[in-house]
Amino acid sequence: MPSNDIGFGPRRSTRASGLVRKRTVRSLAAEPEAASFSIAFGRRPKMVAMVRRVVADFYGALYDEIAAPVEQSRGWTSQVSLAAAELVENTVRHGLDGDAVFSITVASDRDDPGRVHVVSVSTRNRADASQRELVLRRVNELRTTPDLFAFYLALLTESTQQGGSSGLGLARIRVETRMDLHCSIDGDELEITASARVGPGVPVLGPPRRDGPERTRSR
Amino acid sequence: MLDHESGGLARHDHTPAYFSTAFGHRPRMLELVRGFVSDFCDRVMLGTARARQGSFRGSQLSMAAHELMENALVYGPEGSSSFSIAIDPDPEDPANRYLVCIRTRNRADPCQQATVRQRLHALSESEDPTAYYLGLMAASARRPEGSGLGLARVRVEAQMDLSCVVDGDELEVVARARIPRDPGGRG
Amino acid sequence: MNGSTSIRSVTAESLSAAGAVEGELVTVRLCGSAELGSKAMLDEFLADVLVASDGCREVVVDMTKLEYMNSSALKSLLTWIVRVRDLPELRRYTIRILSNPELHWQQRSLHSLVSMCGDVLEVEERGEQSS
Repeated sequence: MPSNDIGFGPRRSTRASGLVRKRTVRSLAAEPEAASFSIAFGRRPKMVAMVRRVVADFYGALYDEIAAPVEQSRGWTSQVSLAAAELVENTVRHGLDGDAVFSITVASDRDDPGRVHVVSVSTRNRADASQRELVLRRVNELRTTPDLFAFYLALLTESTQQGGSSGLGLARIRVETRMDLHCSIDGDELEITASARVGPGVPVLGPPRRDGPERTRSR
Repeated sequence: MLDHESGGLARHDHTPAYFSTAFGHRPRMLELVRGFVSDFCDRVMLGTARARQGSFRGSQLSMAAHELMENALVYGPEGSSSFSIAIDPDPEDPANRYLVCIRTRNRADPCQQATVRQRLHALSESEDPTAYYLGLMAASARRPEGSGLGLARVRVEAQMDLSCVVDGDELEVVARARIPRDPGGRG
Repeated sequence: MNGSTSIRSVTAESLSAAGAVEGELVTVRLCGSAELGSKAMLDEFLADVLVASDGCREVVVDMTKLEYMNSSALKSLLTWIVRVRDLPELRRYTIRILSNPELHWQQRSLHSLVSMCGDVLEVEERGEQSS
């Protein structure tokens, strides 16, 4: 039987749960309004689509509790599920042994608990030193670049000219969802978190704007 | 060599999987988790070709998940309940079976805790769980609330072994089953 | 003159792709979801489209039923668009993507592509197309 001293949570017996065990698991008493789910899985490509869909369903169901226009709900649900999919796909591609943990947490915002919540999606997996370094560097670039959209377009251009992965997924999360990205390293484990404050007073950001006409039309 | 992009990876038969969720008093989550468990079982674990229709095993597990979660939601005081499902290679036969473990956890008063313990004891002691289950169904027609039918259904229809752990004011109910890797098997 | 090469319909994982040449117009339809495991197929398919489109004036890409596209597939699509943009002027054609406003990721992701290749690419919002 698993230990209960860290609240409801993981087993001890496997490497995947070893990853889970190191995370702080919230006990039932700590944040009664929070909702979360986490999945630990081996290298299973099918998990990417499953996670994307269940995140959309899970977050969409939660969002209905907030008095927000439906369109806002759909926008944020789409953004959060995209972030989840990109993060999970990265663990499948780049994880050292394939074992990974994904989690989503939704909790009231401390500054505006009645109206705003914070949604976080994260993954944790083992990664080799070069991959950890690459991710750290990319996250830092994305956080500090003065022109995020230009940086992203440059990455897109670069991606068409080289065969390998270019860290496009993380950039896509940052640019298309505007979620904040953080990463931390614990030994050989890499944890990446995308988070955002969401609520009636917080606008759903559309695509980044550039000067000049857009060749887009609607019917 | 692993071909990540094509997804043509060697199947990690011995890699476990684990899913947990906590969501407060939100009945909508029941259906979501039930669907996820069914999909996960069929598409990821068993690789059932006809995943859209669901496999027998996926259906059993998702039903068990739903019943246990619903109990936690309904009988626990308003507040968080949590659920997890763990799928490991069966230590006794890792090449041919999975060991599935479903857990729910919720706050429960001493009376509720005692009721669950008593019901699980009655199920485990029953010489014929199916007959016991049918008896409960008949009884629930006269008393729909609090019949213990959900737990009995998990035992009989999902063929899972049940146990519970009391941890202070929290009650954890655990359902376990060994399932074959062959999706057509009913062992 | 139009490409007389047919475009082979393909399916991989959860993505299906089909195309047809109709005079000077080429129509392409992407359905399902372009996720892990679909990049190689998409690359091959778009390479077929590039060959079949030689001499056409427009390629219409219907993505109204494309539920999701990961960043690798986005890269595949962009690579194809860039190849079209890099064609000699006389052989260059326009690409018109039909997008679904209900699929929010399309608004964001396709905007990036238009920002890069607006000289050959336009996006037209439509509801889900009937098959």
